[in-house]
Amino acid sequence: MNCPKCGYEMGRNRRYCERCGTDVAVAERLYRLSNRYYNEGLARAQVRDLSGAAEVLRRSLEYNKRNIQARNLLGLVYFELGEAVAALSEWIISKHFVPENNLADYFINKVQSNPVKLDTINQTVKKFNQALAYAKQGNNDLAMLQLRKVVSLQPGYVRALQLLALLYIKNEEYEKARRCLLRAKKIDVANTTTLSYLMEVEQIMNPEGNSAVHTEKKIESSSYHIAPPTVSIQEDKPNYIAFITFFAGILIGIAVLYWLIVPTVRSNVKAEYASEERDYGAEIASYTTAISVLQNEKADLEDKLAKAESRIAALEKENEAASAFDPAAYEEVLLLVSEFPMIREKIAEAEEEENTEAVLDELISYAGRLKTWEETASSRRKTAAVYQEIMSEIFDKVKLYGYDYGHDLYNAAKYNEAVKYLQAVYDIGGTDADTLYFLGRSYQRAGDESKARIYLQMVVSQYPNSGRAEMARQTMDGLD
Amino acid sequence: MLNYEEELAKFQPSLEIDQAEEAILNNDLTDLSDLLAQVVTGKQEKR
Repeated sequence: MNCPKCGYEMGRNRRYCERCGTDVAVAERLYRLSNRYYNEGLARAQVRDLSGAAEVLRRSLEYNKRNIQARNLLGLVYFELGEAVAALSEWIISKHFVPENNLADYFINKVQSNPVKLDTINQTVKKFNQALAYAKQGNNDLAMLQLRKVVSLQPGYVRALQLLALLYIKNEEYEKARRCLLRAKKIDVANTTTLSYLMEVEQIMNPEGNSAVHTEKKIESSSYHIAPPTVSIQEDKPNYIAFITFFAGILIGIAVLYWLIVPTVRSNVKAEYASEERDYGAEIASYTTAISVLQNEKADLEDKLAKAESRIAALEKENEAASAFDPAAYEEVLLLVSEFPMIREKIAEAEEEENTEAVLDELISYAGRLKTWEETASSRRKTAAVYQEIMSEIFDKVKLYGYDYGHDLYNAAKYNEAVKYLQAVYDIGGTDADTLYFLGRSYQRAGDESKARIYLQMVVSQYPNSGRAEMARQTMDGLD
Repeated sequence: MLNYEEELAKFQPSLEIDQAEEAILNNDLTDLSDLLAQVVTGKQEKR
């Protein structure tokens, strides 16, 4: 040790300085205390209780400012806490006391040899100070912005992490605060500020109080003990349980696949096929409907085609008739039409006189002419309708009066005359059962059995259920 | 419960590199040994 008064390097276990005679007992005790604090500081630093180490090392230097080891270690602790300038200060002071063979040279050169790092350190310090100013002014957002940059540039800057955590707590972003504090705790395990903030955050986040921080061991400055090593050496044993668990897991996975996943996949595939089937079915139904509609349209069109063809045929016939028009024949038609009023008048007179037989011959002759020129009259649209009306009226009269007169003649046994009138009625379309029967019977009585058979057979075939039919059969049975 | 203002007040600005020289020069390096030496010197002067 050195004499505290003259600085003379004394021998060991000397009570008095060999040069100046100063009683150095107290000084020695101070040096011992300084060393003891240094040892404690070293121990704390080794377990990362950096703030505790710094406190103890400062105390060591209070006892002996020339304790270079304590000062160098203090600088190192400051540097690890992110306080680079404070670290450099301690190392420079250390170098001042011991210029040669000083570990502080190494530390200073290490920092100064990297100007980029030095500049980064300076920038982070400036930003931290700016952030602190913002926070004290109440601009918390700006402060947080700056501090986030600081911690990204210098992740080990404990005070920046603590300040940022405080701002997060103020902002009720407790999870972010917790993360910052855990980072700070990793660097400096027993920092009271970090621990108190962390406890606060965990109380807020976990009100039931199962805070891990409560289980933290409080480090007291007077009785710090180095934790004994907890590494235990175990023999490596084969992990059978892991293998069994692995294979059990595989089996369970296969079972789950078979019982849960495969049926689901199958049902999904079935559902997909069913859906496709429904879609195809709907498509087929729509095609069927379309086919049905088209078929109906086809039938309709065919019908229209047939009508059109018949119309064309009629028009062609009309055209043919028109092209084959005979003026002389048409004159006959016109003549017939012109005679009709006169004929009608005669019929009216005869009916009034109840002597229709008087005009019957003329009527039958007129009807025959009408029938003869019917085709010619029909070829011209202008006369066809009128002609048909005339024919209908005249024919009705002939059927009525011709049958009556013919029947009267039959009853009067004038069979040949009866045949004349009844035949005339038949020729213009009088084909009722009575007309046919009496015509047949008239022929029979007149001696013409062949013709009689013809008309009687017509009665049987056309009116099989009528009374005249039975009579006709009987009559035919009597014929040869 | 944390008092935000109190906690914030505890934070002091860090030294910047250009302030390091001034900080070192202003650093009071008196230790107990110096105090002891002053006390001893004072006693001797009184005598």
